[in-house]
Amino acid sequence: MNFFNTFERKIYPLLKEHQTYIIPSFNGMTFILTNLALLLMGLIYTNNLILLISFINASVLFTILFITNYNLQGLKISEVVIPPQFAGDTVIAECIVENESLLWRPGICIKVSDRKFPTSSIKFEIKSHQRIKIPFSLPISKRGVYQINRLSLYSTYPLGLFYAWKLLKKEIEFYIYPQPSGLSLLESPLEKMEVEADYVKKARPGSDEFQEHRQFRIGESYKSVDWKILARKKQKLTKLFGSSSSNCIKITLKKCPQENIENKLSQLSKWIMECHNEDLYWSLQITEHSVIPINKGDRHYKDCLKALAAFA
Amino acid sequence: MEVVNLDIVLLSLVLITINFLKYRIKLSVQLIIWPVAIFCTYLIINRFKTLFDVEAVINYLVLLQALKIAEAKGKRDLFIHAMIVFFIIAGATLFSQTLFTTLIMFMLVSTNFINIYLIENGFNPTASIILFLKRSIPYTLLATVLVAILFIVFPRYELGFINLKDQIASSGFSPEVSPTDIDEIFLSETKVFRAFLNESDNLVTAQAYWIGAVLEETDGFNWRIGPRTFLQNPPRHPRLNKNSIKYQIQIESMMAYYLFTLDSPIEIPSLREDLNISHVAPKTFQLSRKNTKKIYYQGLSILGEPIKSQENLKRLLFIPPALQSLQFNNLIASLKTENEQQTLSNILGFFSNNNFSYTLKPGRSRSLHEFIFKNKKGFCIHFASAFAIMARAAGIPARVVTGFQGGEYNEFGHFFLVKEQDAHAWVETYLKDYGWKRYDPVESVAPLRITLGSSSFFATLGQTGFKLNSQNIFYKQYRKLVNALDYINARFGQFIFSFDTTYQEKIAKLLSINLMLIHQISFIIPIVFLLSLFGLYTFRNWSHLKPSQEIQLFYKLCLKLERFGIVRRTGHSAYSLLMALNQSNAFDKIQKDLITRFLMIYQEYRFSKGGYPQQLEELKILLNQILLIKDKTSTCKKI
Repeated sequence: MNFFNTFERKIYPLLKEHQTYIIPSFNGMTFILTNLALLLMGLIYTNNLILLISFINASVLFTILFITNYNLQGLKISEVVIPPQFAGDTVIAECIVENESLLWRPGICIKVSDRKFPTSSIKFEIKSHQRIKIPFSLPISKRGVYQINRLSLYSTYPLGLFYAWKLLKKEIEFYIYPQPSGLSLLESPLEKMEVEADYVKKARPGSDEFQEHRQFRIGESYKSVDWKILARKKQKLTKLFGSSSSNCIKITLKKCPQENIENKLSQLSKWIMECHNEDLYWSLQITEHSVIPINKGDRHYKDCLKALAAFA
Repeated sequence: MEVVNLDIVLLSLVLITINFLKYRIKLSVQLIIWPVAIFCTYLIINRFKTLFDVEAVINYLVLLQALKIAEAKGKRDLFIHAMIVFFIIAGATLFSQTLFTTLIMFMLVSTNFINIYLIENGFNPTASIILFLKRSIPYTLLATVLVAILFIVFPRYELGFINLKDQIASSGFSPEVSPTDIDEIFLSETKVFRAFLNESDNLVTAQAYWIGAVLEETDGFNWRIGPRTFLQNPPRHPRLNKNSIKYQIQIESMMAYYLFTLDSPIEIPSLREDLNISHVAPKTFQLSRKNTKKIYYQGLSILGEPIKSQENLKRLLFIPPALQSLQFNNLIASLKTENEQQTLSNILGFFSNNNFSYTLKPGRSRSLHEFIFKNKKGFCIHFASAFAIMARAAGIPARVVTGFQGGEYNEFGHFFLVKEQDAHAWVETYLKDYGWKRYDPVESVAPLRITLGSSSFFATLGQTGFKLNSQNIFYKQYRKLVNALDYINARFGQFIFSFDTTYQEKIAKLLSINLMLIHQISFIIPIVFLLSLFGLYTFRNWSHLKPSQEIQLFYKLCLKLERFGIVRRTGHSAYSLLMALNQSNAFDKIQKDLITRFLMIYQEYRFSKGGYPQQLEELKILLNQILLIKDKTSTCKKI
């Protein structure tokens, strides 16, 4: 497949999105050479039966060329979702593939490739007028901001003699957060400070009043689940109310006891996660100039982790 | 094919050993395969003295195939193994070309394609072969048409750059007669040739002597073709001769070398192919180079008419001095008369009156003396050799002719099927006042062998294993069926195996076009085929090129929503449109409910199995209502 990857990379700028392209595979080349040898053999020995085998093979080659090409007709990738994940976990991406044709499409593969990680592919089949979600894992183990440039649907069905592919020319960016590890919040040398009155007022308009929604976490009380949203949107969300706590944590890179920068980022990641779980206010300072001000909630949590993932 | 089978058995044993060493002793396959490959290559070279002979190549391919299976680990290995199978199938056609082997070949080719399919999709449990075959039917039909057209129009270039080793492959017929080396012969059912007669001509089995080679040189009992001398072409008789008979011969055995003719040929056989014919001995015609396909030629012969010779026939009186013994001389003296014909009749009488017997298991006669005076048992070549030597001793020029006698007449195709069991030898003597005359000494000891033909004669003797009475009604019906099948086989062979440029010329003439144009078509056809496939696809999907009704309705809705600032991007589903709608303030609650309902029904109708027709109607009604919603800008414009 290396040959095809190189080939695809070279000609990528020339290719159009949603257009099907087809070339003989390695097996296809072997088959063509075999057939040429048979043709030569038939001519040398003036043997009509060998020529007949050669013609049968040639006809099969032509029809397979068509069937393989046809197998990708009407297929398209509607959406690609790669939620932010922590490094160390299996990175799962989800692709929604739609079959607009009238026929069942077997032997379809999705291939994802980028310079930063090895190529990954998954084989599946899709029935007519079906819309399916294909989860596939990406071979990523390091934190960072990744981008998928080349996502393609390909097929070598039925005999593997041809390689037909279709591109999705869309840049998909996703974050892999540093793996949370190190000291817990209780053991940490972080400073606790009183939150400025103005800010808390902004963040909490009133004590014990509804503030925002958050994804339901296992172990939380079912009393706090917003049942109306669950009935309407089928999403399990927890209602958050103003907290009486005014404790605030100042998370800084300098306070990390580790020496290695990656381990330091992992430590920050762990503290941020704990603060979020404890529903505390926190601020994040990675360098002197990059400071994320005090806040809490899902959006703040994600912003902080994204900053850690993107830290260079 | 026997050779190939033996080697397959040998290689199977090698493979079992390899597998044993591989799995039991856990030895690296590469370590085993190389020595095995080198050893087997040595065996093949040692056996065939070359690696470029057809049989050697076939054996070598079998070896490679076997080693590849032993070594196979993944998809690619198995695929290459499947490719080698194609070569083995092709190689087998060099040895045998019949309707049966063609059917087997087609089955093997199809199986190999299914094999390739399984190699490619075998790990996917839902990859059904039945579904693949069902889907492939229209393409297979198209491909068959392409195969047929290519077969007819593809040029038959002769690329003879690999010279085949000259060898004589026929086992029933031999251009040498060596009775001293044989104690027993087995009857072989292998087909040698078919001789098609003209509708108006008739030939009885007893007259059907098919000449292979005329042998003039002898060592006293064994015979071979004489040294090359100036050979006079067969005399050309007017074609309207009453006794002349025209026939077409289709050689069945592969690697044919000798061209068989009906006794006596009056023309050099005319081949359809552009191959040279050598006239190596009187009435003996050979192809100047080896050929591997079934050849087809025409011959013209006359029956029962003497042919005078201008040659000096003294050399045909030669007898090795070692043969001159008192007993032999006395015998010849007792048989010789002044009348040559009478002398020859006496010799024949000598065989019939002295307890000579015709048998396939005569035991070893090391010399003519042993046969005439002691053993007295033999088959055609013993009698022919003895008769010719005795005629020469009596001063009559004589030579032995080998070929075939009789054959099975096929009433459906009006042809004689000659098998190896019909192999025969007889004698030609030159009578001064008459010319060349055929004598068959077997006729005097076993007349039924000549009148019934080999198969019926041996069937009555019970020597063929088929102890069936030839008069039995079931046997007759069985023979009829066999003949009918053989007729189909012959016709198939005539067209498929012998199809060549001559046929193409006929087709070109029929269509009043140039042969070159026919050949050019063979290169254009694949392109036309591809275009027609794409044409077929477009035709089949013509109705689907236009979006279905619900999609059209959905697009209309999208256009409407665009006016309200809700833009659907390519690839966005109905759900994402629904989300955008909920966030928008352009519609009031009732309007939003209306659009939501439309989108929910659309989603259900389009992606559920089948969908209800009522839903489509509902979609139409809902859309009509939605289209009535007026946006603020248009209202403003009106004001």
